Amino acid sequence: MTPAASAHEAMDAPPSAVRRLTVGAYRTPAKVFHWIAVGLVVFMVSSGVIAKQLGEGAAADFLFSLHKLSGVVTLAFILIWIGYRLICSLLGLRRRSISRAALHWTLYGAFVLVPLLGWAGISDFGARELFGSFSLPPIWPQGAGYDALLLQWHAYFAFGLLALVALHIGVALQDYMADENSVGSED
Amino acid sequence: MFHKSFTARVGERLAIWGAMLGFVLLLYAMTEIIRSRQMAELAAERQRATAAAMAHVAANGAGFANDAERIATGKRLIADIETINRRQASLSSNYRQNRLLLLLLSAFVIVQIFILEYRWLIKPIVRMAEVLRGGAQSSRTLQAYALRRDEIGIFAQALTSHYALMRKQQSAAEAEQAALSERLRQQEELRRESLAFQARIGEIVRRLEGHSSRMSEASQHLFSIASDAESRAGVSVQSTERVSGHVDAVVSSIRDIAAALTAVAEDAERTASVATAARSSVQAAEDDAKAMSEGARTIEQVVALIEDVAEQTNLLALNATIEAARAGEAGRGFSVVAHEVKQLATRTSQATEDVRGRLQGIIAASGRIVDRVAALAQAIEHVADVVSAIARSMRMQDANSQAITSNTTKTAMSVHEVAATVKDVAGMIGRAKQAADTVTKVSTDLHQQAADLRAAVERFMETTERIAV
Repeated sequence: MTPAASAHEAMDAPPSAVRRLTVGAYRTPAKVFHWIAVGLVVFMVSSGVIAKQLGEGAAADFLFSLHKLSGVVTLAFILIWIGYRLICSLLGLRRRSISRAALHWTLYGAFVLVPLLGWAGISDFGARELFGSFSLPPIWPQGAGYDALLLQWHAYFAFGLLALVALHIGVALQDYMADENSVGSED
Repeated sequence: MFHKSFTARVGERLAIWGAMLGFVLLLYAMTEIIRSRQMAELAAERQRATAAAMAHVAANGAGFANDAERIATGKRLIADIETINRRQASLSSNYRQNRLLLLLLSAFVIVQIFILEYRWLIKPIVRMAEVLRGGAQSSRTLQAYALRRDEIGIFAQALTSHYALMRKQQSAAEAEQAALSERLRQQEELRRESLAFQARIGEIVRRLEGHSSRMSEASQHLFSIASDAESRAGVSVQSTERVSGHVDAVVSSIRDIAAALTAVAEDAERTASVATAARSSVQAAEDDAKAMSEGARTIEQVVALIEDVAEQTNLLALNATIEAARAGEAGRGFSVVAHEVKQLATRTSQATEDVRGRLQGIIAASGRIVDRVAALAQAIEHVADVVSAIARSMRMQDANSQAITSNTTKTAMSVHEVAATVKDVAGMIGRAKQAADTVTKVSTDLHQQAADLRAAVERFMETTERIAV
């Protein structure tokens, strides 16, 4: 089932079904993770698009360095978040419907895949430098010749991730629109 | 993730959609601005490179030391232009990719906004409009929408309340109509019941008049009967009082008889005790007689012993005489003594014979005494038995007389009670007579009341029939 289909299924469900499937409430760590992720996504998309559009020059290099740094931070952050969610799931602290779980785990997968694609692209291209003399370690053989393809898919998946974020916002609005018992049960 | 007051209303949703689209459009605008600036810079650079190249061509070798330098300069100018072209191509490729992705994302977001808002805003409005038009059985739909917290939820809640109020009013109207119909039916039934009741009352009044007349006659008859019974009750009272006096006299006599019987019984018991004492005296006399007879027999044995002694003495005297004779003169004195002893023995034998004869008389007399005493004891025993029988009979008679006394006493009490009851009956008959008199008066009044009731019911029937018609 695609994320869009699962989201539509969730939206088609009557409010009582949504309420039945969504129990639990936000916790402060989840809220912090969520809004940090929002900031990272906005910054990474903005820096990536603008740097890509600038293409060359010092400003572009600076933005690319920031983009790479934020990408690594995002990757580390999302791995921590996935660990936190797994612990919550194992402890039974969080329950939600299958469609929403599928949407969220697709989002987490995209959050992992997109930085890795970018990292592999710059490893192949040979542009792992950040600020100063600090460089990212290579995760892909340099000069393998797949840099353009990897970076292109990096961009496509990044915008796919944005589409998933849009779907996620729609599902969240649906939940907020439902009665107050289900508010805050999904992120 | 938002505050609890966030309920995804239309304004809030529009703000979020605007932020999403604004972010994408902002990126798009920035790419366009950067693109235009890059194009302007590239155009300027290309213009400068082109101008330099054209100047180089126009100079036609002037200003160069040799051809090689001129050719090198020309190649450098061409390389500059090619570099500018490559940069332009690269930037254009980046621009196209950014634009394509941003446009696709914008289209996706716009389509999503359209689909979701159609589901959240337009479709509910259409469905609720159908509900308002009455063309859809959508109470469940309305209830589902009423759970939402946005404007559609408020609208659906208002509609639900409105429909609930309408249903309530409709139910109330239907209930009122049903109640009105029920009241009309009850009034009709009441009218029918009233007419039936009036007819029934008329019939009852008619019968009541008949019963009143008969009751008046019966009460008069009852009065006469009560009078007769009262007089007879008076006679009965006198009779029972006389009977009561007779019974009291009988009780007194029976008590006297019982007292006499008791005295006789006591005398008989005393006689029995005297007979018992006599029996014991006779027994003692019998014992004494037997003892005397025994004593006589003992004396007889003594007499026999004395006779034996006398015979022995006589033999001894005889022997002494013989010996005295043998002795001669020497024995003469002894012969005298023997002779005297022999005489004494003879007198002793005579005396003992006399005693024996008298003893035989005493023994015979004591035997007769014993027989007579035995006969006397038997007679006393018989007397004692007779006296005991008389005492038992007297006691039984006493018990019977006491039972008769008790029963007679109870009879006297019952007779007294009968007398009291007869007096009470006489009093009751007197009161019954008064009641009969009262009933006679009441029946007379009842007859008048029945006539009045008949007149009132006839007037009421005429009135209700006039109203019913």
